[in-house]
Amino acid sequence: MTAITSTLAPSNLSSRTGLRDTLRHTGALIRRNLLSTKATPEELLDVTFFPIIMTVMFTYVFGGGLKSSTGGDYIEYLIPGIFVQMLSFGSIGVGIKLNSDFDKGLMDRFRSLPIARVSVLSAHLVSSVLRLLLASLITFTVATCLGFRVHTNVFEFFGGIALLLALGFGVSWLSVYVGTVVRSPQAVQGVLNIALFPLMFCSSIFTSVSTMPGWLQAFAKVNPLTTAADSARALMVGGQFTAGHDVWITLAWAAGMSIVFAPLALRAYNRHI
Amino acid sequence: MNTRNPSEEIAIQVEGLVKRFGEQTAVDHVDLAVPAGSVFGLLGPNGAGKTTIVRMLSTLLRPDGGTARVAGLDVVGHAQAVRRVIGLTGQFAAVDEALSGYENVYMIGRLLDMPRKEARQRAEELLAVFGLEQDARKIAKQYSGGMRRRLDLAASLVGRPRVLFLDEPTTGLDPARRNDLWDIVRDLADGGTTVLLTTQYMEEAEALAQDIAVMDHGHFIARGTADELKVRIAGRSIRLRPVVAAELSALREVLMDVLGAADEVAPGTVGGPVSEDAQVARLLQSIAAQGIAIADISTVTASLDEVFLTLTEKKGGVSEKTSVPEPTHDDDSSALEAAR
Ligand SMILES: Nc1ncnc2c1ncn2[C@@H]1O[C@H](COP(=O)(O)OP(=O)(O)OP(=O)(O)O)[C@@H](O)[C@H]1O
Ligand SMILES: [Mg+2]
Repeated sequence: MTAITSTLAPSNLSSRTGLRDTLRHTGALIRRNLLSTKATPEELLDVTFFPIIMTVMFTYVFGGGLKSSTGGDYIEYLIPGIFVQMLSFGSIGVGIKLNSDFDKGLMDRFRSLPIARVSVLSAHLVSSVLRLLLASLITFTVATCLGFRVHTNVFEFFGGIALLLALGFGVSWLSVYVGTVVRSPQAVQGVLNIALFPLMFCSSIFTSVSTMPGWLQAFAKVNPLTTAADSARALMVGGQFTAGHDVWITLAWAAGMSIVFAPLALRAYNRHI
Repeated sequence: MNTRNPSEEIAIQVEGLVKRFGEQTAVDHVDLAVPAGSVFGLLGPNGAGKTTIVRMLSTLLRPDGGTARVAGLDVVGHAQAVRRVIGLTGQFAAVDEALSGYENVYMIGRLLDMPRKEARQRAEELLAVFGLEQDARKIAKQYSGGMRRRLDLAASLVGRPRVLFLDEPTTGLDPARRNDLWDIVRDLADGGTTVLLTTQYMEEAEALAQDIAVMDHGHFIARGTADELKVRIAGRSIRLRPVVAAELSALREVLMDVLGAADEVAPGTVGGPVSEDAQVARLLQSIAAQGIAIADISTVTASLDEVFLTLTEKKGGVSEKTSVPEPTHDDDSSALEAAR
């Protein structure tokens, strides 16, 4: 009995899945992710409610004190930073989702099907971007209600969002990597919080770097969240905020994180059982 | 039934299969051949290696040695092609809890390249087969354990697999649902599907499987049909009750003589193991020669539970009588009682 003569064998013996099939499978899995978000919208809290709380808290509680360092209208300073915070922290979600697929045995089900393994991962990445776009819309609406106004043109504004999404994409690969190597969804959250919280507070998101002690300034100035927040301010608010090299540095960070973590993540993901 | 000739086509062929986890050998040189359209039952205590075998055959785990072919295809070299012919229900339900029952099954149809309409019809059909049509739109998080299990089974049948792996498929099902599943498995086998199932329930293996393997510590320790295992492994025993109770010890001596062992198995009754058919005739001759009058005589064939316990006690690490778990069968029947 050989492989090819068995009457039980499928007609298609290929070990590859065509690109069109993979796209269709990815589509079916994106649908699954969106339905899942629809059924449990509380998952969106950390990218909707959390940024709103931060906005309100920093505007009304600390805003008065911080204003002197940032100059002008504090909310105009803050909101682009809130977008940076939301889009970087929001990227933790993809690692959590992936990890719980392994954890709950769903990945076994997918792996027993004749689909390309990567379709599960790409569906999570696309769904993550869609969730973040929705969250951006909500944050923007709330910010507008609180008095935030865009002073730049549409292209610059969306360029700013795209830049932050690019950085979020880099963080997503880190998140996928962590999501594949740690043992539980909670651990993914924990590890990435530890990585991101110091970056968030030691950045220009909430206050000007110039108010920090010298040794911290050195760190805060190269921090990608600082360059991202400064770029976002220039692109979304304009006026007194100028970008300089920050846009390019942020793009370099985004590309660098993807270049470093994507191969690591893909390798870990493909080996995971 | 159908026209296929089971002896010609081997659906699952395993030779010298090995899987190690660190120091431990979970599956140790296992050989196996399952004819197409038959049901193969894999029995064994916790940790025997059943799930590990299923995971290797369903391409989820890479074997460390030996070969395994499913539908003639190597599970490593032709993994993707193997996935086109198999269905898998793992030991733990793999359903997306945030999705409705319907969406779970529909998604599998779409992932198996069915057009939307076909995927929709197939999902509705299977949910009805598993009695979930009422709850099809409820999210699976709100399902009971047994409902999840049935949803998982429905998902594994979407692609009409030719080879189906069921890892403890009836765990958590109530008696009615379990009988339903047994009927479904029989129907599938009649339709030519090859089924490999693992179970803790002897009764289940006996009811479904033509061929049974008992495994422990990664080895197959016995193989055969349910009847063969019962007779060959645990053997038969004979029980005799003399008319006059005073003759009990004399009768016991005769049994000791002919069968090599004897015991008072019940008040006024002695019994001993029968290993060959000729022993029964010799025993009766000796009893007649002694002039002992017999009131009652019976032979008993071991239940599969006893076979299972005999085997796993003898070869396994569980040698202490006290550490032998309650027969699963008993657990099950009490669970059934509770469910009623
Ligand atoms: N991923 C793993 N890593 C390490 N050891 C494992 C792994 N999977 C299984 N084992 C070990 O291999 C042995 C066989 O496990 P397996 O799950 O195949 O048993 P089983 O027969 O399915 O048991 P049960 O009836 O409890 O489901 C066990 O001793 C188990 O501890
Ligand atoms: Mg198991």
